[in-house]
This record gives sequence, C-alpha cells and structure tokens, in this order.
Amino acid sequence: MNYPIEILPNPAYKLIECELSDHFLIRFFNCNKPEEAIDENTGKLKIEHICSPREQIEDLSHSLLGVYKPEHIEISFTDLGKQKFLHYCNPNEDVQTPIFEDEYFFAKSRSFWCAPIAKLNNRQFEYSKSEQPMTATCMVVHTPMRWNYWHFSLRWKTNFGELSQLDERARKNVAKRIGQAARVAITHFAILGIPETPILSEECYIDNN
Amino acid sequence: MAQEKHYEDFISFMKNNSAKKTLAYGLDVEYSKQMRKGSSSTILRNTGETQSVIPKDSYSFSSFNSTRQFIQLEKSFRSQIDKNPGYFGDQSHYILQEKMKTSAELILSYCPENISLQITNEGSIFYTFTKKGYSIYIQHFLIDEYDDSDEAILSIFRGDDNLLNYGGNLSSVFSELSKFIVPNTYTVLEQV
Repeated sequence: MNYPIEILPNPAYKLIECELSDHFLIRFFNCNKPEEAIDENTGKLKIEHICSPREQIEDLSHSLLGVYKPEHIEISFTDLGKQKFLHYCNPNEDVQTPIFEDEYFFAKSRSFWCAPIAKLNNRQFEYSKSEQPMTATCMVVHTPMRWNYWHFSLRWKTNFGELSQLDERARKNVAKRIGQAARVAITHFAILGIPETPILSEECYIDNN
Repeated sequence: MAQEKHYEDFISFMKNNSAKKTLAYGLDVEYSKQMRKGSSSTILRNTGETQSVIPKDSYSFSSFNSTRQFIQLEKSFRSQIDKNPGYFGDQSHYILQEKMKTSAELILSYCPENISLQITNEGSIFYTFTKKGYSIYIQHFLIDEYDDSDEAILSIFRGDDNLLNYGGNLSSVFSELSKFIVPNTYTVLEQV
C-alpha cells in the first residue's frame, strides 16, 4: 500500500499564508457510523467527537481539505511511525515516505467532519459582560507536520497575553472559556459530508523563489 | 456508610442552595415550604424583572414535553456518567445528579424546541438547545465553584452571529439568557 506522497512536505513548498476563506478544515473522529456523531435532537455534532480527552482542545489538529482528501483520514501511525513523523516541521522539509505496516497502517473505523475556515478564523468570543471580561480569538494556522504538509491547527489567543503571567485562578478561568469557545465554535459550524471546495492556487503553497 | 455519606452530601447541598436562591418548581423543598406558609408575596422577589412575584395560582408543573425532555436528559446524563466515571473526580453521583437537575430544570423552563446534554472531561455538562431561531450553549461546571456557587458559561447564536458570551455563576447566566428569551413556566427567584 502506497503512502499518498502528495500530502508530504516538499522541498518546493512554503508556508500557506494566503486567503483561505473559501476552504474547509477536515478532522477525523473514531466512529463507524457517522450518523451517530450527530445529536438526534439538535442536529449538531456531538462534542465528544470534537476531540478526545487526551487532546488539547485549545490546540486542535486538522487538515486542509483539498489535496488532503477524506480517504487520508484512515492513515494512522505505529509507535515507530509516531516517533518519526508526528512532529512539526518546515514546509520544505525533505521527508522519507512512511513505510506501510512498519510505520503506518489504515484505521478503518473513522469518520470525519468539516468546518468552514471563514466561520472560524479570526472569530472572536467576547466575554465583555462577564464578571471577568475576556476576548478569545480563534486562529486557523498552517502547521506542517512530517507526515502531512496540509496539517493546520485551530489555536486561540486572548487579550491576557502570556497565560503564564496570570495567577492560577485566572489561568484556570481563561482555559475554561477557551475550551467552551472551541466547543461552541466547532459544534455550531461543523458539517458531516464533503463540502465543495475550490482548488488551492499553487501560488499559495509552491515557493517560486 | 455510603448511605450516610450520601445523606450528609444531600443535606449540605440543600442548605447551600437554599441560602442562595430558590427554584420556583415543584421539586424544590424550600419553595414548597414557603408556599405552604401562604406568605410568598413578601418572601420571594424576581431577580431579572421589575415585576414582583409569581402569583401562587400560576405556579405549575412542566408540560408533557418538558417532562419528556427532562427524562431524556436525565437518562442521557446517567448513561454518560457510567461510561466516563473519571470525568467528575470523586464527586458523589447523587450530588452530580442534583446539580444536573438544577440546570436542566432551569433550561426546560424556557421550553426549548430541541435540547441535548453532553458531559465533558472538564467535569461539566454542555447543553445545546434551540428556541425561536436562537442556538444556545450552556456549559455548567459541576465540580468547580465560582463565588461559592456553580460556574457556568453561556453562548448565544442567531444564524452565524454570535450575540453573547457570558461567564459567571449559574444564576447570573440565566439572568443574561432571559434578556433574549423569557422562561415560559417559571422564573428564577431570589430569596429575600
């Protein structure tokens, strides 16, 4: 089984910083039946399928839908593969192709959801009326990894600057709000199914310098 | 011993809640006591509005739909707790259940069109419900307290527009919600 090399970093690639408002993020979750991921009462994505308890909701991994396709969500890594490939890297890194079975395999019991970047990127959650005012801003950031050039992260920034400067109670409150904002944003905007997405211009990811 | 612990937890929980606020709903012991005394008009004051009290006669139990929704929520909560026992630390199941009932009943007073409940690994309940074109998300933290009462965070959407985000204690969150939609069956009251 061949690894889809089109999703690997490439010496000709650069960091994607162009406008992506017509594009979508895609993220997998472990569930055989995608219809079970939608709450039957509200029609919204169940929050348990946004991220697992061991992951950090304030820094959520996705991929850019396009060259990275829904069938690629089945790629999963062995312990050896995780050591070699589950790291951030430069977009133009020269990466060896993962080896099937030794380093990666295909996990079949996965489904996925997509979310429009336009609805998430730079979306602010203002808690100005709260007893502890705060603004949390969602950012969609290109963060290539050795296994997937099209890896993006959903991150958050707040008006508090460095969280390490805050006392424990304040830091805990900020973390709670970010967690809530992340769940709300995704559950409100996520869709099951494959949306229509334009082809990303090569200018966005190929370095012509 | 387990039963005694549960009973002590129950008494502590009721005392804590009675000191702060009272839910005008048939399941609440304190309000029922006040009503039986027949002097509710001088005891209870509406927190969010300028009108005074809810007349005794208009007090009523939830409709069939709210009852059905409550049963579904309770069943869902119990099932999720059983699957994820570590999410709420060593908090007694009885206390968790009572706290869940508090927020669930408050939400059901708004007669939501649709509602769901999910627990999170932060020891909270994440409610999603819709009403009159609004999508409302309330996260009720069951194991942390904020100013000696349960903390909650509210977000309200209408279409793609995020109209409000608010964090505070449970009572203040529902006060903010009431500025958008009004509860149908009862209002959160504050003990004078």
